Amino acid sequence: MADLDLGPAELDLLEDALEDLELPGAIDRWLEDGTSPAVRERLEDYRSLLVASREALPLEDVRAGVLDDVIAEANRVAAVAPVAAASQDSWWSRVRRSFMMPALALAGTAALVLWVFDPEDRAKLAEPPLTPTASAPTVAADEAVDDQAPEEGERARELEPLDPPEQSSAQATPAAAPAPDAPTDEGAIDGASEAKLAEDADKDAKPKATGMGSLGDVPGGVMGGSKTAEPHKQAGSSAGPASGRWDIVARADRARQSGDCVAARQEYSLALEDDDPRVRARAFAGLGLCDTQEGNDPGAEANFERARELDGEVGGFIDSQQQRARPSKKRKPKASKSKKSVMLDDMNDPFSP
Amino acid sequence: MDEFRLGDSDAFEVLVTRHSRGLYNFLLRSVHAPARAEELLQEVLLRVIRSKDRYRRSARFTTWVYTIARNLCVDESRRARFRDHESLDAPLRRRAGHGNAPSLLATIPSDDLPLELMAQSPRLRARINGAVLRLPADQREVFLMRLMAGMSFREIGETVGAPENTVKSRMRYALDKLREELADLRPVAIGDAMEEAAHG
Repeated sequence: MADLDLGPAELDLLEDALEDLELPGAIDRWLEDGTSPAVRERLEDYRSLLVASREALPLEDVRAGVLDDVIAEANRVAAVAPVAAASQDSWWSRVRRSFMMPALALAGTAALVLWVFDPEDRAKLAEPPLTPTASAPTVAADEAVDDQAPEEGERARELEPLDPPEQSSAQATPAAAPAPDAPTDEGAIDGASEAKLAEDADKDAKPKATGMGSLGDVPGGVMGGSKTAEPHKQAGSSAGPASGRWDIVARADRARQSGDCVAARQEYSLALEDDDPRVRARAFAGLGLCDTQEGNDPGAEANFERARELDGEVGGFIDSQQQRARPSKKRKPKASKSKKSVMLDDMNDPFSP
Repeated sequence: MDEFRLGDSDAFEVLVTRHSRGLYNFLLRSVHAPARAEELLQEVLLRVIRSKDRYRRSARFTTWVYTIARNLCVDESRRARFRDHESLDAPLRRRAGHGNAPSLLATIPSDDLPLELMAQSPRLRARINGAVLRLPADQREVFLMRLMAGMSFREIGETVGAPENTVKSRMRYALDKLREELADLRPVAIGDAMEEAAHG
């Protein structure tokens, strides 16, 4: 009876043949020529046992009435099933309700936001101030403009960075509702008071840099705010039409101030294509400042010269930038100190001549 | 089953008609008591009704319902181990005024008698019943599902949670065990016994 006389393949054959062993002719179908007699005998025994077992274990019928209560329960449940089924959605419906609708709503909202906000505006809104001083005039100008009527908001924001402080103040003063105090406080408007108005408006709007000036986007004047001469000069200037390159100049300035002159040069190069000479002047100034940072003083001077040729007012910006950078340059005088120390060292050096 | 879920009670009756007999016989041969098998059959179908919303169409209904039945049989066998078994030969407790009561043996219907006491049953039936009873549980359930429910080995595998090849092996082991138990009955003798049973 043991399976010792049957190999693994024969045992597999026995097991596979169990599937339809009771069917007529099944054994002959499973057995091939050369199959051992032991396999045939085993299959025949299995078949006999299965047949005998069916005879010995006949299928009994379920006694009548045993399932009546079960059927009644099924009928009761089925009666309420349609109501429940109506409220029970398939998994796809649940997924659709749970995820797709909110996703569509979110997509629609995003599209609406994108449509409402102009890309340029978003870029400007996204521009973070590099330093409080650098951002102050820009933000001040922007805030002043923001107070304009909404329909003028965009144009005002474009205009604002282009204007010298006096121009921006001239523009902002009527527009800057939150800073109405400036004109009223200042009284009569003349050239000098206009300059003061400009400075005050900027101060009111946002704290800004001290006289050392900001590195911000407003051309010239804010940085020259410490120098009243320049505001004087710019007092009468009218604000030109907004140019899209001022934001490029602003980005370039920020890159330069963060030390990335490569990116700054790329931006300045774009700004050089602007029609506004003031924009080009600022671009050249920025390139010169990059040269200065990189130690290329001749190149810097050349760019500064080009800048001044385009816009005489840009000198103030250049000076303020150079003054700002001077603390690092001021370290150079330390060299003189160090020279002193070197002299002392030399004095103390027994081997010095 | 889907129709029943949607509220068609007739669909459930179709399921009952199709599967109740096989289920009942599987339960009967597993618990060896008709009354208990009926109770378990009711329980299986009630569980089907209660779980109708959890039924997944990806699973065959046969597999699903026999899984429920099998689990109930397993629980039943565990309970049976701890059940107090009265001696079949011991006299029943006397009630006042009733004299000596007959033994429990005399009161149990013949179908519920252990194999050794089925004096009126054909010899082969008794032998096979006993042999099946003595099969290991995993082999017996495969054997009974095959015989009583007519399930394929693949379906049996899905029900018991074993690969098809494992199920086939268990079936072969069960048949080998029956073959050993009935070794004294050669095929010819088995055939004679079957004839004897067929003709009374």
